[in-house]
Amino acid sequence: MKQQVVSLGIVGKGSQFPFTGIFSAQQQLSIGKVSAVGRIHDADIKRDFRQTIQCSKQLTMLFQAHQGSIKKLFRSVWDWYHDSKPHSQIVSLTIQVLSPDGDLWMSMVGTSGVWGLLDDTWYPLLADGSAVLQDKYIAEYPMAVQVQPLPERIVVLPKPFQNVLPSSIGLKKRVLEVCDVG
Amino acid sequence: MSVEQAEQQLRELLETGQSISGVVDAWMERDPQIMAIILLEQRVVHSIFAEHLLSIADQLEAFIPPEELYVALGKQMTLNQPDFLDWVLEKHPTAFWLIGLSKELEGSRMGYHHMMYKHHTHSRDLPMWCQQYAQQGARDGLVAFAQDTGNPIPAAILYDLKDESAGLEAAVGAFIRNPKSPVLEFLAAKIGPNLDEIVLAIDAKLDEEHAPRPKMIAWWLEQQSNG
Repeated sequence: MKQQVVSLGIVGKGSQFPFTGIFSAQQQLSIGKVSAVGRIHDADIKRDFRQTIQCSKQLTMLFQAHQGSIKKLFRSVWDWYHDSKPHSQIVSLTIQVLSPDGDLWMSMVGTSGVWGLLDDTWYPLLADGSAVLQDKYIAEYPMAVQVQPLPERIVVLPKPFQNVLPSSIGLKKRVLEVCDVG
Repeated sequence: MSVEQAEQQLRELLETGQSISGVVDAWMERDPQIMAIILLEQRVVHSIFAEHLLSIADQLEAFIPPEELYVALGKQMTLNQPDFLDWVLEKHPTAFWLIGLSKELEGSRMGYHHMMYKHHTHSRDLPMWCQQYAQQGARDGLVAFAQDTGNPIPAAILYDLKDESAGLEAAVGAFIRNPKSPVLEFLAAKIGPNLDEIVLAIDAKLDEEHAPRPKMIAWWLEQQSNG
């Protein structure tokens, strides 16, 4: 049976160059399809380019080297995040794992909203007051949430954007989606 | 007076080297549609006629839509088209009909002159115009602009519009003109950070052209090999 796919996207800024500061990674592992999207707020197209690309590359390498559970993967990613993130920057990062059994797990930092698309309808996956969106930690790590039912697409709004989904044109122009790694 | 009579009179004045300003000004006052028909139907094509019409362009704009007016004038100004385009760009810097004018006058190099103008005047709206031209089908003009200036924006926009062939040409052209051109930076900002295939294609094409490998391409490939 073909494994399900849930595409993960992140909203960029409303400009000619919406994906400035955006990084992403994806990998097929034994624990499932792993995808990550992140954004460095106020990144400069030229100045922050290498840092952004290195974030993508380092996350990919981290995924490739991973062995173990989903929880262990999340912890490795957050350790990397805290080691690499400069204090002066707002850096959003969302990780998603879709297990071979069809369970979808997410963990995130610096996110103002997460939306899912199911049957042509967008709906918020997390309420505005959610502890996850408030970046609350458990045992020094961001929380993990299981998403049910499975949406077809997920779109993340990074901080400091407001938790408002862009128009359908904005969704086409401003969302960077992680490719399917099936 | 009929259009034919006016046309005849105008021809005679131009052929005998006499001033046309008196009759043109009189027609503009009495029956400006005569001038509109002679110009729009290109019944008289002469540099002195064109120069004079240029000097009364503001009056003509009152009853001829600007795009039609400047396309007709542009056809008259075949020898001085670059200067003419500069003049129009200064007069109407934000008009979207400039794209149609460029298409009419520059043909397959549509967009080139406008982009060069934006480049020389350091206009912040250059990306917006490049996007508009690209969406209207401009390719050769944008590639030539990248090749002549090293500007990275055409490559980013053309790749975003899924024209990989023109995007590659623009990227390679920009790098050849200026190896420090921030082509990869603008590509990432426009289409996202997953550029491995594009970078490999640019590198191969630069190699074919015997161009030196830009430092940023070398850095990218180093990152890839480390992974």
